[in-house]
Amino acid sequence: MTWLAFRRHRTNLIIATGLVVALSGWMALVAHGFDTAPLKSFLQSSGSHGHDSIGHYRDIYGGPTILRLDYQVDAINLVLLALPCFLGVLLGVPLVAAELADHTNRVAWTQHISRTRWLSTKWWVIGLPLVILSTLVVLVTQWWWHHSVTSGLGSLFGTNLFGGSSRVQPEVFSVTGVVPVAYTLFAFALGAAIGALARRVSWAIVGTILVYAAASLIMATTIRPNLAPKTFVASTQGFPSSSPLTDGGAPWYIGYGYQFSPGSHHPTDASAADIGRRCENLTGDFYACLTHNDLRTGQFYQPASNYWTLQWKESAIYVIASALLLAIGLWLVRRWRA
Amino acid sequence: MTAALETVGLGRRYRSNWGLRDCTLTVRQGSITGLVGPNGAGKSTLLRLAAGLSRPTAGTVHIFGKEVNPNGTDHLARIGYFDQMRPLYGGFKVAEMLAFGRRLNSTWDDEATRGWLAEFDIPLDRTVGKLSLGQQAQVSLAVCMGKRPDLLLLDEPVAALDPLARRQLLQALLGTVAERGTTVFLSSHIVSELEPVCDELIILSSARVQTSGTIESLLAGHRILVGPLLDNEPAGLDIVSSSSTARQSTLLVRGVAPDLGTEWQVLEPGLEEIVLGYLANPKAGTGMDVAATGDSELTGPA
Repeated sequence: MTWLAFRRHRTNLIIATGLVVALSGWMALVAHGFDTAPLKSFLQSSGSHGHDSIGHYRDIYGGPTILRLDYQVDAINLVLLALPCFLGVLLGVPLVAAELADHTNRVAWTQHISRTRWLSTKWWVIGLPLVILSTLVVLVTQWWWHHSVTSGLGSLFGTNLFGGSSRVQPEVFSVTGVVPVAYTLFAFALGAAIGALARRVSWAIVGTILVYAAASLIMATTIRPNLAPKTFVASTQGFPSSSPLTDGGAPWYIGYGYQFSPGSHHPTDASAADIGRRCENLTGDFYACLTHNDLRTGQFYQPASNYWTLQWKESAIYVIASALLLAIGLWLVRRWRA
Repeated sequence: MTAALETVGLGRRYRSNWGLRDCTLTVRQGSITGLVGPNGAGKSTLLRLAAGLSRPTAGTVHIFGKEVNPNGTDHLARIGYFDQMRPLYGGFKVAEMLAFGRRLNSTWDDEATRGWLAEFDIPLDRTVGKLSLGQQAQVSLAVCMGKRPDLLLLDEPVAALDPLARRQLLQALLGTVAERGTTVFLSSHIVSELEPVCDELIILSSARVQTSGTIESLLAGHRILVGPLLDNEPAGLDIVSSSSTARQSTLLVRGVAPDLGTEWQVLEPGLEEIVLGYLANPKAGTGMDVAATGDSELTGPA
C-alpha cells in the first residue's frame, strides 16, 4: 500500500518539492541582492535610518535595483502566507477526491485491503514529506528573515514583512516559528476531508481555500490576540520607549480598549470593556463617565516576548483541528458508497 | 453447499428512488450466472453491494455464507470485482497495474496474469491510459483474475468491445474459470452475449428481480401462444407479457400452456424472447422469484 500511495501521488509530491526548491532559490537570490546592493555600504557609512535615506539613496544611485528587491520581498511574503494552503490543496485534495472522481477507489477498495489502511497509509506517505517540506520552508524563511534584518536594510523598506521588523506581527508571525508547519498539516487534512465530502476535485479546491482563509482570519483577529496575556498601555502613559513591552522587538498592536485604574475594583461584575462601551454610548460627558467608573483608556498589545507562547498554542489548536479533520475524512471514506 | 452469493430482501436507496429493491437471489457455487436487465435496472447497484463497495439500505448480502461488511476484508479475499467503468490508474504502466494487484493482495498469481496479458498482446510497458478500451478491459480483468478469487463479479465486462474482442474475452474467461472452478456472476444488457456462456440467468428490471433459473429451465418453462385477438386475458394462464396486432395476440406464458383450441399456436421461445417478454412488463414475476429458483433446482444443471 505504501508503494501505491507514493506511486499514485508522486507527481504532486514532485511538483510540491520543485516549488519549495524554486522558492528557496528565489529567497536566496533576494538575500544575495541585499548583501551586494551598494545601499549597504552607503547606510553603514552614513549611519542614517528611515525612508528619507532611501529616497536620498534612490536619488544618488538610482532606484530600480532596490525597487526590485522591495517588490520581491513583498511578493515572497505573499507566497509564504499562501504556501501552506497551496500545499494542502495540492496534496490533500487529491488524496480521496481524485480517486472518487476517477472511480479508481472501486479498484482499490476491492483488493484485499481495508479502507482504513488505504487512507491511513496515504496520510503518512504524503503527510510526512509534506511536514518535512514545510519545515524546510520555515528554516529557509528564518534564515532569510534574519539575514535581511541583520543586513540592516529590512526596516527601511516599509514592506509588509519588515514593517515593524517584529516577529510577533501577523505577517511575520504566520511565516516563522512552528505555525507554518501546523497550517500546512491543517490544510492537508482539510483538503482530504473536503475532498472526501465533495467527491469532486474542483469543488474541494474552492472549499479548502475558503475554509482555510476563514480559519486564518478568525485565528488572527479573534483567537490569537487572546492566547497569551495582553499588555495594556494607558493613553496617559505614552508609549514606553523601553520596557518588557518592547523586549525582543515591537509589540503587536491589538486594539483600543479600557481598563480599571490600578487599585480600583468596580462594584458590579461588569468588565472594563462593557462599561467603556456603555460610556461611549452616553450623550453626556464621556470623560466624566470614565472617571466615575475608575476607567482609563489605552491600547492593548501582544509583546514580542509572547512570541513562542502564541506560536505553540496556535500550533496546538491547528494540530488538534487537523486530527479532527483526518478523523472526519476517515469516517467519510468508511461510510461512502463507491 | 453454501451459495457463492446470496441476497435476502436486498435494497439500496439513492436519495428518493431505489436503485435496487427487495432483491432475493442465489448464485450457486461453480455456476456462471448471468444478470440481465435494461440500463438502470439496478445491475451495477447489485454488483457493488455484493462487492462491499456500497452499503445496503435494506436486507443482507452474504458471500460464501459470510455477511459482507464494507469496512471489513473477509469478503475481499474471495472476490474479484470488475467495474463497469473499468477504472484503472491512467498514468500507470501495465506492469505497474500488476504490481498494484500483487502488493494489495495476500494471494497473487503473477505468472497467470502475465500469461493472460501476453495472450492478448498487451505490452507491459505501455501506459494504461493509452491502451484501447478493449485492452483496458483486459488489464482490469487480469487484475481481477490475478487475485485468484472464488467469485468473480463482473459488471458489463464486454460492453464497449467489438464482437471479436467480446468473444475472445469471454472464451479466455471461461477457460480460466473452468480450470479453477471459479463462480462467475456477470451482468449485461445484451442477452445474446450471455446465452452461450451462462448456466443460469437472473432477469432484473426496475430495481427488482423478475425471474431466475437455469437457461434450460427458463426455456422449458415458458411458451409463446399466438392466436386470435383477445378482449380479456384468458383464465388459468400465467401471462408474462402480451402484445397484439390488429388481427392476432401473442402471449408469453409461464409453464406449459393448456390446450386453448386449434386456432392457437404454441411455440417454444428463445431466451431473448423470454427476457424481452419480462422486460416489456416490469411487473411480471416480481415476488415470484423464489418459485422460479425452486424450478431451477428441480431441473438442475444440464
